[in-house]
Amino acid sequence: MGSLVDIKNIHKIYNPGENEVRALDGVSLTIDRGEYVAIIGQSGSGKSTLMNMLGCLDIPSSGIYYLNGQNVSHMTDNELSDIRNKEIGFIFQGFNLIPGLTALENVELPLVYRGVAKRERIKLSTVALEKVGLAHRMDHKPSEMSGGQQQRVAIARAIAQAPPIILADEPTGNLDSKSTVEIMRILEGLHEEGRTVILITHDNEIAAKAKRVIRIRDGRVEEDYYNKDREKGHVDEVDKKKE
Amino acid sequence: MGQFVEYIKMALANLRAKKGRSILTMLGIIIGIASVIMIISIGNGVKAQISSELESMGGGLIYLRIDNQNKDKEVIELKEEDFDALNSKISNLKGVTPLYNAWGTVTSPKGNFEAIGGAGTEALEFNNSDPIIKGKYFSKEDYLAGRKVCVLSESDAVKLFGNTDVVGMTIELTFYNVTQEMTIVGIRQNSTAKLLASLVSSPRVQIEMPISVLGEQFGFYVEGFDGIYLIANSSSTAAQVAQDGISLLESRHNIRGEGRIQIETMAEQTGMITNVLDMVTIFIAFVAVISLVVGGIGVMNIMLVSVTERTREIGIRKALGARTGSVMLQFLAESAIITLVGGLIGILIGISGAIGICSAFGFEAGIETSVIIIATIFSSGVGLFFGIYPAKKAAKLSPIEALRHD
Repeated sequence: MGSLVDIKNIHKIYNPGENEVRALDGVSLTIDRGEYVAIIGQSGSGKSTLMNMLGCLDIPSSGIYYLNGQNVSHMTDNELSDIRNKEIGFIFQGFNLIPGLTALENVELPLVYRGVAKRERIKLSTVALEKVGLAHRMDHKPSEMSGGQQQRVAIARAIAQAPPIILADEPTGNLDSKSTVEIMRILEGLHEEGRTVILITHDNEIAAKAKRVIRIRDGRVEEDYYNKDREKGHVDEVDKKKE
Repeated sequence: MGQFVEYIKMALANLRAKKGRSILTMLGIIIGIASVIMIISIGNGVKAQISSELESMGGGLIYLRIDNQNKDKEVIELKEEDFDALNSKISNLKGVTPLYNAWGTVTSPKGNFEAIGGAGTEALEFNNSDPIIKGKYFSKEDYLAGRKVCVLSESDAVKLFGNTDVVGMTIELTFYNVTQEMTIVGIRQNSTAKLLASLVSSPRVQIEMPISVLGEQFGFYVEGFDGIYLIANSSSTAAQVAQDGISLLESRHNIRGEGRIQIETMAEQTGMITNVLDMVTIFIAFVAVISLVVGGIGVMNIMLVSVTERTREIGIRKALGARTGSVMLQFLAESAIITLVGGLIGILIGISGAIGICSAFGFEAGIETSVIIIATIFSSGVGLFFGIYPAKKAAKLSPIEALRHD
């Protein structure tokens, strides 16, 4: 079985010509099913661009991206929308819930675009909200919930459709330390269930909670290693990828 | 299809969330549609009313006149023999009559009144569509024998006698110092037009009588006439009757091709009036359509504001898998719902407004389904047309840009 994410020599160049910005400058990496990966980098390192690529929000200027066996590097907008809907569960720093909708309706949203029938949608969304401990907040609007609760709704939204990848972009960036612990615990729980979690962050402490860390700098992969100290004797089945 | 229903639900939820704004936006469409329907319906109603009134005033009435201006040509007068020829040879003709008006006074038990004597043949009855409600009109025999009989209108009978049970009674008519006693044989119903006229002025008493009486008893010259009325069965046969009448008279008087006989028909005048009315209606409806377009621009404006306000929402939706078409449909559905609901309310207001205004003025509104259908199509067209630009703008947003938007 191939890798879930397979990126080969990806470049993303803004303003080609005089003032070109090489946001990604030849990135190659693979992520297997079930991994818990943190992509870490300072602002301006290219990690946001990489996250946009991984999340199929954008396509590379050159290079190839296989996601779950599909070449997404040349897809049209609508094809990318379908891929995002099927393959990726997003968790954003700013939660990005729709203010006018209740928690349940927000969680339903990706399922609406997938064409799931109402009854089934409510069932899946309820299960997802129960999982993040918000069964009692289903009818609340985002404005009636704390930041931590909103982010849990966002996680429920990301997992309701059971996508192969959970892509979390600075998920704890806007949260207090208590909520941060809570959210990280949920993400870890998702990983333990066997889901693939990709975490984008600038925070070494957060990155340390992942199993594997990919450090991005100046649009390139600077480091790619496993947090051995967190393994506690457990031997990883994937070959080590240092350097 | 299921998806489509979802977009409509989303659109409805959004419109409900911004109720005040949605209603204000709708107002433009409501006013536009209501005024288009109201104006066209009232215009149609007025037109129908005017045509039927003109018809009742004598839709089949034709005035035929001989041009005797040219001193070099022999003067031609129309006489009794011409009337007989016309009556016997022309189909769809109810009758032929000259009309002489004599000014004078009338004396009744209630006193002296100013009067106009309208004199003609027995066909004068049809000069006016108001029915005879008591007695009967003077007959051909009365006319031929020159009997001193006359017909009054309801209101004039009341004026002269205090009531309308006056058939068989007599009045004294004086024209140019000649006084004759006339017997009343019939009472004509009052037309609404006459009643209205009597409100603003006190008209002379109108007396209809055989023209032979005017000649024999009062000494008028009633042997030949420049102009006569032909009365056709209906306004639709008037043109043909007029044509036949001209050619018959031209051949009887050997003036074929000289163009000395001129006619005026009521139908022509009706046509002119309705043409003018049509133009006025079209003009006002055009103004109303402009207001509808302005309403449509209002919809576009609000949708553009909405797209800007909800840029982030659009980004979220796209990130979660909304296709370009889905976002577009959602926004299009919003503007379509605004215009459709606005259009329906406008149709209701337009129809009830037209009925209300028309019944206040005592006639029927001319509501046509075609107008309503066109208005509905037009209003949804406006919604779609003015909704497309904002919807496209929304759908084209890149999810990255949109998510960065605050």
